[in-house]
Amino acid sequence: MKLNELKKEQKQSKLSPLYKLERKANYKSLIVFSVIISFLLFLTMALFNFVEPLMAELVKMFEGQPEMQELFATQELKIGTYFVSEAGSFWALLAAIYGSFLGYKLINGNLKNGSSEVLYTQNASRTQIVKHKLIRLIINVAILNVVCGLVGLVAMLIWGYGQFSVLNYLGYMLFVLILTMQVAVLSFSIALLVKQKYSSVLSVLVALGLFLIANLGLMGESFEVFNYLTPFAVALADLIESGFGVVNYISIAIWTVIPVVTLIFGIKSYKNTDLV
Amino acid sequence: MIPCDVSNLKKYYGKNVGVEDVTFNVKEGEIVGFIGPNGAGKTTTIRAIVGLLKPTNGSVAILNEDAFKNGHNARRELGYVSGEASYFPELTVMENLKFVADMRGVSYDRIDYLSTKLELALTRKPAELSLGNKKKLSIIMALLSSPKLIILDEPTVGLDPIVKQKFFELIEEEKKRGASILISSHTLPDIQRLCDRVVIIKGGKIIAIEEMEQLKTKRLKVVTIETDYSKPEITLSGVSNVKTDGNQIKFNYNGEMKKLVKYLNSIDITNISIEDAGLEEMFLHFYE
Repeated sequence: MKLNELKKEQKQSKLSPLYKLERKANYKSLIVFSVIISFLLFLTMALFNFVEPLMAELVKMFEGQPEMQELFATQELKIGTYFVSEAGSFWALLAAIYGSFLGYKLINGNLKNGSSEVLYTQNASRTQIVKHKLIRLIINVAILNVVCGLVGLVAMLIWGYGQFSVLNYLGYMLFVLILTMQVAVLSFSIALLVKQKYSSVLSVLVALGLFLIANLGLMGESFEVFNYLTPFAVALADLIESGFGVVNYISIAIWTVIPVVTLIFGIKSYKNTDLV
Repeated sequence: MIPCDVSNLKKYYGKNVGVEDVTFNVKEGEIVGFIGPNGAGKTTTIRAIVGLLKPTNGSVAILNEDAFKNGHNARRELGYVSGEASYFPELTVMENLKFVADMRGVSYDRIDYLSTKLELALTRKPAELSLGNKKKLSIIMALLSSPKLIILDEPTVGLDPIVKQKFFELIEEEKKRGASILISSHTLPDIQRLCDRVVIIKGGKIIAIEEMEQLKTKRLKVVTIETDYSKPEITLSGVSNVKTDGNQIKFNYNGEMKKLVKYLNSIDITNISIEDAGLEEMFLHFYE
């Protein structure tokens, strides 16, 4: 690039260099995760046409046999229920793993690859730097979920047009976005608090562990307490078919407060520590 | 204004001492050498100066701002080359440089000037570069904004002699402009060539701060004698770092010249040379 072009580019650019830095450093993983999750969502929904008649046959076979129906969990398969149990849950899991990993990488990546010696010796305070990293985290998690959500919606419309409420679907999409954001911010805050003691493997385990806890919550009424111990409960609720009444708003509130409080402590700790 | 003022700096890593009671400064337009063996505390001190480490005790001020608490206000005028060349690996060389230029609000003209001077290719990723070229990138990033204070930790490692010469020219340009420079290096001739003062650190403590001119006039002499037959044991007080090579004996002497002459007169020698000690000898003398 010639010097004149560079000068022109410099004059035109109004974005903060910290914003541009984080965008450049983190766009590839966003594309990879968006493509993988979207592809899997689409593929899973494409299988609906094969699964639905099979399930209908099973329902017919076990008619009048409630024990067998319970054993094989047979019921008339609706596209919304199918989406939540087969596609939505792994969408939420993979998006949360991405968010959790990105939260870890944004903070520890610079310490691991040595670029912290460039970044933190610039004329920006640690708070400013962390703020830009947090903005990048929020933007990337939002883009990933919007892309996956829209691909899921297209797939739902292709294979289940008129069989579900688009509003309920958009609500589900919003709650998946919120829960992945909660997991991502939690992971980001843990990285701020414990720095290099937090690893990429641990960041994935945070997301995975919270997802497994949500699955325990599905095991019956006596396990309901688990729904409050994880932000994932909303991703497993049959919102698309049953409406907004099944959403556990208390759990959402709890899991909004936890990452925010952790973030406040994390930033405070990060400002007062060695960064090498 | 003292651009860099380190006062009673202590840094502990848990119970381990990094540095203790380190006090020195870098005045305006001055080049200060910072020397010491590996693990002496040079990098710890430098990292505290640039705001990466929080002092356990004491204070570090750069351009009148506390380096740790408010250092970001002063870092617009700080250039820093870290011991291990640091850069953003996801970005190209040019993107790395543009980032620093944008942060400091300086024109890209300076990228062109410095990269041409040090012959650095801009389109590749830093990971694809040799150590020397990575170091060039670090140097250009540090000098981009023509800062008032420049901190260089082992800047010449990996540079070939031609690039090293160009680097010296750049440092001399910066000094003429009025920049204050702290340079840590194991290459003592470089320090001797560039610096006005030298700070010597050992075991986390400053053991000497010397003007380079004073160092040259200090009484430390390097004495080389040759003998035909015997190899006398040098017993004179003030003698250090005795080395024997064939019939040649070389040692440092720090004491009265009269006593040295008298002593040399008492032993059987065939040849003699007495020179002022260079920084290398001074350095070894301090560490004995």
